[in-house]
Amino acid sequence: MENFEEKQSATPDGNAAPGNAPAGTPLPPPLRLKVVGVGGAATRMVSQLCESKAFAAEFVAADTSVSELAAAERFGVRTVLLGENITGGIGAGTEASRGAAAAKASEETLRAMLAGTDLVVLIASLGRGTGSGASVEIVNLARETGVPSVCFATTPFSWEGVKSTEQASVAIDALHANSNAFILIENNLIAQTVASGGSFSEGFKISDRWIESGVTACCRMLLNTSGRMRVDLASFKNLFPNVGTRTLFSVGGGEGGNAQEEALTELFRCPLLKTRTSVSSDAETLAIHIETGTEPSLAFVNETVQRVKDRFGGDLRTLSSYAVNPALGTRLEICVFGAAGLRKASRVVHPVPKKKKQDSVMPGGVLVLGADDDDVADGNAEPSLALDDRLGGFAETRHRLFEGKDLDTPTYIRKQINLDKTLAKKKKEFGGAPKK
Amino acid sequence: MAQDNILAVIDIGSAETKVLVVDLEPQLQVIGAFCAKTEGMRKGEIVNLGALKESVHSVIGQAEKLAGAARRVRGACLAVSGALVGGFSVKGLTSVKSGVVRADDKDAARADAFDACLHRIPENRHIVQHMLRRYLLDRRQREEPLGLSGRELTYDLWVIDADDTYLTELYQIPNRLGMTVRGLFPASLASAEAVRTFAQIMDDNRLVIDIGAGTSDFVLFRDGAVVCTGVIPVGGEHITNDMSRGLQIRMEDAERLKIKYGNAYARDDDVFAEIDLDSFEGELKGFSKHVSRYKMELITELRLRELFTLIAKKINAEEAFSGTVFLTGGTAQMEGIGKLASAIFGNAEVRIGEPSLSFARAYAEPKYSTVVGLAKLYRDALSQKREALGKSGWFRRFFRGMF
Ligand SMILES: Nc1ncnc2c1ncn2[C@@H]1O[C@H](COP(=O)(O)OP(=O)(O)OP(=O)(O)O)[C@@H](O)[C@H]1O
Ligand SMILES: Nc1nc2c(ncn2[C@@H]2O[C@H](COP(=O)(O)OP(=O)(O)O)[C@@H](O)[C@H]2O)c(=O)[nH]1
Ligand SMILES: [Mg+2]
Ligand SMILES: [Mg+2]
Repeated sequence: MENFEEKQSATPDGNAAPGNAPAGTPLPPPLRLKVVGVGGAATRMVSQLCESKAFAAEFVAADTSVSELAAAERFGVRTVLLGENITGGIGAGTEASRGAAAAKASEETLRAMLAGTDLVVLIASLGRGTGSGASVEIVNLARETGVPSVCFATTPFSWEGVKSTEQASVAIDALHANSNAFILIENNLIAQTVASGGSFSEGFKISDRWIESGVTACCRMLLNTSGRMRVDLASFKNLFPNVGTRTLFSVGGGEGGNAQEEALTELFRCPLLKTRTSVSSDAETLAIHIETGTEPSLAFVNETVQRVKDRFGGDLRTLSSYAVNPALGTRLEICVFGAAGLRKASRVVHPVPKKKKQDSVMPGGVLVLGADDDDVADGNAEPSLALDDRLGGFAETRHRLFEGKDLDTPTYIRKQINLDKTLAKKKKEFGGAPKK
Repeated sequence: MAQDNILAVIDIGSAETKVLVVDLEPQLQVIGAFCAKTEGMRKGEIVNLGALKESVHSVIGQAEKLAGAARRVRGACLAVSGALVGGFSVKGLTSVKSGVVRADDKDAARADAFDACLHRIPENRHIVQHMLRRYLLDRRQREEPLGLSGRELTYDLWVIDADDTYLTELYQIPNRLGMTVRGLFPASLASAEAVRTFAQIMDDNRLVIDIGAGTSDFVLFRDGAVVCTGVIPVGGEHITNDMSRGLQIRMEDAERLKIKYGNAYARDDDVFAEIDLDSFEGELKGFSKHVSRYKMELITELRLRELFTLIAKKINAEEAFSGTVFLTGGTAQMEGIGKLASAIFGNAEVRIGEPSLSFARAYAEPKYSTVVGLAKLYRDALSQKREALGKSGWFRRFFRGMF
């Protein structure tokens, strides 16, 4: 992403703001947002985000490795060294249990880090020790202290081995069950989106880019103070009242005369919609954020929002927001965030890592709900959504891994076979002309 | 008394529940049957017991009704499948004291095998069935070691076990209707029984794979004896799922597409072929109305290749396979699946099997294999039990599982 100026100064907010600041005065950031990276790879991603200055938030890196953290510090990232006595500051190795133990040992530091936060955006690189072990502990702490969480997690490539996959899978279940919104970046899946045969690190770079654009879009939506419509913290909480629901998250962009069509197509085909914890349609609540270079027409915003709703749902509640960002020029960017399974949330049994917290899964969730949220909290309000209507999905079943393999994920994704590329190659082989 | 001869034979598949109400006497005979969509089960695993009960009860009710209102069925026979079902081998050992194998040597080896089995089985699992794989006398395989000379006799046992919670929940389904569970068999064995052709003599080497919607149940026989059984939690629904994701279409559309145009091979002839989704009212209307037939086939081929390779790995861990492969279950109807299986199982002969038992002529479709075989297995076990009760002594070793 390009470097953006702080938005609030570019486009002063004309609306009556919470706290009734006089119009025209730049507002303080409306939200105390913390972006926390857990694990070595996530630490590097947080550094990147901090450097990009795409949005104003506090950036934190939590890792077991002194050298990783030292590198992050240079970018202005706040650092938390986990379990120095346990890992000696040289990393947690491949065992998630070591990462978890390290985080437990540093619980007080983590609590202090989370204090005074309105919303924590957690980035976890799953697969090895710190990412898979410590992230679960941190999400649990956030939940315990009542800080709502949005969690982005990357899964290891299948070539990283069965153990990594298994460890990541356990972590995914725990993170998903305890965060308000959970977005999975499946490395195997996103590698599909680019030319195969790239270098070894190419795959990771793509994964970095998705994390970056996902987190940026999500945070810019939340921090948006320009535009006439926006999503504030209270309404955002209403979108994700419970932990452990299924999240819809997608980003898309387009440029020039056909920007709207391009952006919507990209949005509807986003690989983040196809992970095993996500939904790709029929979300119950939805937030739609649109960014353009120049003030859009009302008709344009309306039409775009309607088309996104047609595709993704949002029957229970839809919030839309837009921001004008001159740096975009003729570019249009859309970000959609939603939740599904709220109605049946109380019936879904999720693993809860710590027994004592069980009662917070009860109807009502951990967060206080507004008066109009009764239908969300009531597990009996309506029968569950028809799962068959979504693209794929075996998410209800408990035994996802079979001998270390996630057999519910399509084979072509796990084997990293790019369908379009293969077809194109075949077509070329046959001379580009239909064969009779 | 007559009521004891009536049994509900129930196969709760991930896609459809099949129920046969059968009369066991004087000959096995189907007197009522029904089949409908299953709710609350995925990949052979119970995900919503309430919904599952409801849907299975309604199928049982319909089958009972067709069997005649006067008959209240009291007994049930069930198939087990899914990731919660396992299989392993244990070996019992004894030294042959007299140098020549006698009946008590066989008993001792057998007792040792069961001892070993009870030690291996975790507390939260139950034995569903066990069967003798073979005897080994001084490490050499013997069909009947009695009277042969040797020093060490091994009793090689194959055990099929299942998770307790799963079994408890499964039992609740007929229990709630006042039925008692009288028989419990692995789906793999039931399907194998159903597709066993008349011409086929017992000493055949064969691999039977029932590919349903959410699971693939397989069993390998050598010389008519079970070598191993297993369940892979992959079936036709995975193909549908992969298509839905790879082609960006809804599950329902993918399912219809699969049944109408599916092929287990990505064929060069189809590289330029497109299927018009409009006839299916595809969801992505306005974006793309056509899906590539080649892509669809490629998705299927990759999935099925992986499935067969997984099974090949499992059975080859026991012993190198040579023999005939039988494919059954709903997904066996996929075009080209036989050719693909043959390629993976060392160019073996592959047959697409449907139930070929005379009492169930009306149910000669691959998806009925499990339920038809289940009825036959129960009936055979019953006769064996009676026979054994009539005689005595070492005939008892034919007793299986719960009988
Ligand atoms: N002509 C066909 N081609 C390909 N697949 C088919 C065809 N007809 C049915 N199927 C598939 O067969 C599956 C259903 O088979 P079956 O009834 O044997 O499964 P089940 O017993 O309900 O499930 P399971 O045994 O896995 O629990 C479905 O996935 C369906 O898509
Ligand atoms: N996106 C991205 N992922 C990475 C990178 N390096 C490692 N990973 C992934 O992150 C996982 C965890 O690695 P890492 O964060 O270094 O380990 P940890 O510090 O013990 O958690 C690995 O299994 C990889 O899948 C990277 O540079 N970018
Ligand atoms: Mg590390
Ligand atoms: Mg079946």
